[in-house]
Amino acid sequence: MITINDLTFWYSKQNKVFWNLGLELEAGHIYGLLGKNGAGKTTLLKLICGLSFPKSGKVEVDGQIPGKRSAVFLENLFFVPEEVSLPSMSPEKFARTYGDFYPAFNAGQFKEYLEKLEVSQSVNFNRMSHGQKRKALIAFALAANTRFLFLDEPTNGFDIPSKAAFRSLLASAFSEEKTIILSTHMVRDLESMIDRVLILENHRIIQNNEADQNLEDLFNASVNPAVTSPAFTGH
Amino acid sequence: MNESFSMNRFWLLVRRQWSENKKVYLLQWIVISLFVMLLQFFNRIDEPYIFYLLLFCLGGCAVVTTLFSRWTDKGRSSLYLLLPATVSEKFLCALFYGVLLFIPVFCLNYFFFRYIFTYLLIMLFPNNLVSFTGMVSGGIHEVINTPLSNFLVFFLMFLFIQSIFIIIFIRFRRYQALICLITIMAILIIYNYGMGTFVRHLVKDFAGSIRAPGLFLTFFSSDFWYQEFKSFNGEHFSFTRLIWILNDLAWFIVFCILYLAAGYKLREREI
Repeated sequence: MITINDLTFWYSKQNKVFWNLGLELEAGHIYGLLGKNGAGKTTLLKLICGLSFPKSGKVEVDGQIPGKRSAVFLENLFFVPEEVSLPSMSPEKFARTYGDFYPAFNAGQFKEYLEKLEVSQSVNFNRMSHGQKRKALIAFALAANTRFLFLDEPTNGFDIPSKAAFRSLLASAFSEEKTIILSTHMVRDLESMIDRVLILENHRIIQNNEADQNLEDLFNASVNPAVTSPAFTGH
Repeated sequence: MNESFSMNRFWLLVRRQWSENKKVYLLQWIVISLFVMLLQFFNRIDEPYIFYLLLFCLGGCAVVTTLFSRWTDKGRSSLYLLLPATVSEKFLCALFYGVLLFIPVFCLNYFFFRYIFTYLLIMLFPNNLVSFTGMVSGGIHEVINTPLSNFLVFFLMFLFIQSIFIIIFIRFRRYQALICLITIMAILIIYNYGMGTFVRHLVKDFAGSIRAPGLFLTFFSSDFWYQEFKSFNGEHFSFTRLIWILNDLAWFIVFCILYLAAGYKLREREI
């Protein structure tokens, strides 16, 4: 379980990203973290991962403080950032080098996911496009079988078949003990995957609901009520 | 499993570091070897050791840049910081490559290129006057006869520069090399000035005459060169052995604290 209490965070004091933010996320859900550019989606993920530290308030992941970056905590977490940069090696070698750090990593699954995402195992990351690298890292993240998986704009740079393959893989890799957060502004790409939606606006979460309605409409209605579509308002 | 340190995770980190950076390390080794050879062939300089010292310190810093210089690359740095290992294990991995492995490799490299490789090159020329055994035994003789204090100067200077270098490379995202250079220069100037003032008072007390502060201090050694106020004849002042040992010990403790501070900075590192 992820618990956030009274979280305040800023990069500069004049421009606060979060102000007394509170949130509880339970296992067994795929959360969609939505918000306009600059709303703080990536920052929230970084705070939950322990890549940034709260200015005040508390973040806990299964009772652990992410900022301490303990090995046990990190073994159960994988974060795929928006900006993917990988060492000069093939995915096969990457799995051999990094896989042992994750106790539940499954090399067979990694190979299978790479095939499904049409990424070669033997080509060096340096010779791959941005989208290919992202796919390889997502395949690794899914094969690591961590209990917490955070993906920042996961479908950026994906073509349409890859988006479909990603959705299918995510569905097959998901289980009740996992908590997955997908941060995105491309709501349509991931609409079918998300079962709970979090909308960030004005330094806080303004929606934390089940995703039982059209997400794009819900998002537009929440962050910009003036452009609410008829589908959402019921007209 | 031990939460703060696990040998298994440590070796995984060591293996990961090698897999990712072996080409960089090979390149650094080639560059250092080339410089050792160049210094050997153009050794008309009176004091070539200062260049070897510089090479030793810069090489030690270059090895650790592979770990701590990528903070602007958010993808790589988040992959590194979120790697399931403790901060202590990650930092010890840096010291494993930067100190434990680098120092013996540099020494062996120095010996090989300064004596053995040089001999092999001389062999290419006709009428060479040096024998292989003569060259190697000369090298061994030189190493054995070098006073321990000289090795200590090298070692302490290395720890001094590398510890500051690591702290700055972890703390700052940009212009790290420049900040490092300015910091090291500032510390050396302040230290030299402070020691100069200190020695001037000592000399005044002992000799009963006023002398100007020295221009050159051999750091971490017992020697201090100073000049008389009106003449330019350098004079030599030596601390007693006890003061010299205490001074070096104090500096060693300071450097250990600096390394610990660097580890603490890594714990605090945000993306």
